[in-house]
Amino acid sequence: MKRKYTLIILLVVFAAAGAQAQMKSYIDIYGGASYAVGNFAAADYSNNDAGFGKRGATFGLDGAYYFSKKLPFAIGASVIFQDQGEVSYTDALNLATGYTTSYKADYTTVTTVGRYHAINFLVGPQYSFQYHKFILDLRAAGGLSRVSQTPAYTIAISGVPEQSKTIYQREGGGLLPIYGGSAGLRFKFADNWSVGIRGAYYDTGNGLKVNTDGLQEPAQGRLVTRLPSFSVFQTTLGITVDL
Amino acid sequence: MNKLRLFVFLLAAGFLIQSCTKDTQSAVAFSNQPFQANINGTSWVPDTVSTTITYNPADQSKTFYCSGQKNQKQVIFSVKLNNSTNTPGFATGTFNIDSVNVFAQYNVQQLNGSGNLVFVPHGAVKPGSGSIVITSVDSVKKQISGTFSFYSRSTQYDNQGNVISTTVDNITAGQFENLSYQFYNNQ
Repeated sequence: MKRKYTLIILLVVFAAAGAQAQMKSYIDIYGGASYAVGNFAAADYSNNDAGFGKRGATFGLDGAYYFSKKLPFAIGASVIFQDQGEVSYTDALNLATGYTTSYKADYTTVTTVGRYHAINFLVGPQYSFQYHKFILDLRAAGGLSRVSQTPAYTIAISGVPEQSKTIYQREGGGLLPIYGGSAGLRFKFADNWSVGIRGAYYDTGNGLKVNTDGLQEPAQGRLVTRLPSFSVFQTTLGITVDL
Repeated sequence: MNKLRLFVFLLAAGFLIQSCTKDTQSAVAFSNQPFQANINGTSWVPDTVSTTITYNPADQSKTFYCSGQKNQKQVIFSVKLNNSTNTPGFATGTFNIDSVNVFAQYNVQQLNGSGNLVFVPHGAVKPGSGSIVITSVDSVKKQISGTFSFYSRSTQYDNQGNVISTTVDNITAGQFENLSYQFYNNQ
């Protein structure tokens, strides 16, 4: 309860101060960590929506344009690169164990290669609160995510005549809608420069369709035809210059 | 302008630093079924297994019999104990194949003259070609564990009796763990 009141008081203080602030448009470069969340981070054989996404690096270029120096409203835009890691050996072993069990196979070999890479293009409204040298930026954003790479899987099941072909889950890619929001706190350490931290959550909604070859019907094991939505939480550090 | 150059430089540096490696991960998971073996180096896990211990009061012998089959392959082995009692237990120990009391056989499925698929021996398992090791027997739960390995040799001859070729099938790393068995009395 105390936290809730503290947050409300802080917002009121920032809002009161923000009304009298001189807002300047800016550009910002930042980097940090991007955490896969939800089904994107899940790593269960039995969950066909599990994405095996990991924590990865993210960096991007960001900017905001204030329509008036006296108003704290801006339109913000970002270009963000994110890496969400790759399938680990433990994940591959869990998958192999799952296929061996569900197919009652002699053994299964699972080989994976590739990472999750995407570049996001986001635009959205921003509201800023200024208190002395601190500026709190709240932004909602939407746009497009260009997924350039996803992991590929090769699954060879031995001792099962009904699944004598090797199964391939091909590398995927494509454009997806993306939406989310961010909250950032900037500290102005010079006239036109500031440093800041930011937390952001983005979700691509429906994931990409992936091509799977070699699966013989009826499938007796895990079948993935669509990747999970790419849900991520990002924490970043950045440096900002006013324009 | 200098500020923009700095930003472009930092962005480019970020891309270079972010030279994510694409490692290939490969994992193999073998079956954990209670009965399995390697046949000629390839893991083989039968989907049909039969295990019995049968007491024969006529000669007071007890025979442990085990067979497994899958994908047109069949492995059979048996151990006969003389001077036994009418109980569901069995002796532990190493039993070398002697074709008298300890047998093993590797069969493959073939079409017979009537067009039916039947299992026929693929070569012969001769005395001294392997062993069955029984490591534990739970006569209450009727579960038996152990290992086995042997080889089966088949030799092809021409019309003059000369050897054309010899094929050896190696059944190695065989194991049965807590395999449930039925106990029978042949009275």
